[in-house]
Amino acid sequence: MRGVHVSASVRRLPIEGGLLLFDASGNNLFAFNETAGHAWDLLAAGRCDEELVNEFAAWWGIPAARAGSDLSAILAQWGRLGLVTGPDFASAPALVRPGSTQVSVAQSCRSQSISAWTCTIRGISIAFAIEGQFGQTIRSLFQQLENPDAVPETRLEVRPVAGDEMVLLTDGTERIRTADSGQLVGAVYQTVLERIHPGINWLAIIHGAAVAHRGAGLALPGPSGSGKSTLAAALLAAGYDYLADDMIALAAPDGAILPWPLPLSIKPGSITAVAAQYPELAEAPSYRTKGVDARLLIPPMTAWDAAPTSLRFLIFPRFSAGASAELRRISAFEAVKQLLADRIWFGYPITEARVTAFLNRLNDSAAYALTYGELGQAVRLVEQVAR
Amino acid sequence: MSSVENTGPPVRPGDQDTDGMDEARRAALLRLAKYTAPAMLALLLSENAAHATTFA
Repeated sequence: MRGVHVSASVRRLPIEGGLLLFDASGNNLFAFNETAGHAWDLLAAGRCDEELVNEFAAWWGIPAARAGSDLSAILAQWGRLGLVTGPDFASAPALVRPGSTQVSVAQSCRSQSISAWTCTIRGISIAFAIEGQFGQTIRSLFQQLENPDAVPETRLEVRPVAGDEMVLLTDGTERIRTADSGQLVGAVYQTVLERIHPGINWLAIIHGAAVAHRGAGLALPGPSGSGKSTLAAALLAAGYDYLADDMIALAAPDGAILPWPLPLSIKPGSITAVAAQYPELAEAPSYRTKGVDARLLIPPMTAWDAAPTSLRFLIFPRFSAGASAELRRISAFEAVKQLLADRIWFGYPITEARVTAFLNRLNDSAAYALTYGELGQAVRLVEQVAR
Repeated sequence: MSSVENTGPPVRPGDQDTDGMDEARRAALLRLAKYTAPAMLALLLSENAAHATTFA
């Protein structure tokens, strides 16, 4: 660890409880634990070699040998990531995937069926042409918005290209090329959002559901299977207003949640839990997702015209069969860590100003981890903080 | 590399005699209990494509 320095392009962002680093050169964000944060501060203050080891060891009350070993490991990792420089570290490998700009549609893949339809959302008409099963899936989510007589203002196409990749074209211009269907869905959603909210300036887009109560927005971020859509459905039945599912779009500068009220996708294992509140689910249209046939709870069309709602609470749900419901306050850093580990988007390129604005919004909100096995208990716990 | 023991009073996790413990020693014990090796918890790699998104 001779002569190690923090890289000039790396900034520590303002959040307590851990270390959040922004690398402007690679447009990447990294979350590390609190002990890594202390090591980083010592390094940034110019400590190195034995001085670094001894100060770190003395602060934590650990043997110097242990400190030396642990510091060597994290410095080697930081070196590989390009977060620090020093004679022992080669230049960091590129972390970002190379982009592609050439559209070359693979003719062999063009035999799939095309789903083509036109929707009108908030007065804006958009034509979709999406190939394969993916098209049928997306169409089922937008079904209640279809308007075949409308003259489209924008055309959105998804086509297969070479290999497993698909390309999204907006009015003929390539927007993204990827083999990751999650990215593709996100790009389609975002394109639609930008058309129905022209001139919007994004703060962040989070994977999750969102509801509102008396003007306060509750974000329910979480990966697929965490129980967020089912919890959102139960909260709606308890009188909350519906804001979004699958994607929580926060607008700059103050992080207001924009309405994105796609039908709530209730998976087979959850239908019983909300059957009493939603008897219509038994006959609701189905939707193929993650290998199962979910049922769609379709919100009223007026939900698309709802006003943006200020983010006040982030509640990270985790369904665990048989578990007693527990709601635990978590730090803003813990919330950021969970968001980074799932799906969050800060735009391209990521800017320090945008991430800092998001952290400020997060610091002004209250974050909780919710574990639940029974929906009624979960709703009661959410009500304790939101009402 | 010098020894930590030379920089102050020894701090052991097994110390049970907390009566009369001064604040500095109490804080040092709390830090020691919280110690975990520095580690990465999560990362967000930027997409090298304008407007790319990363959620499912």
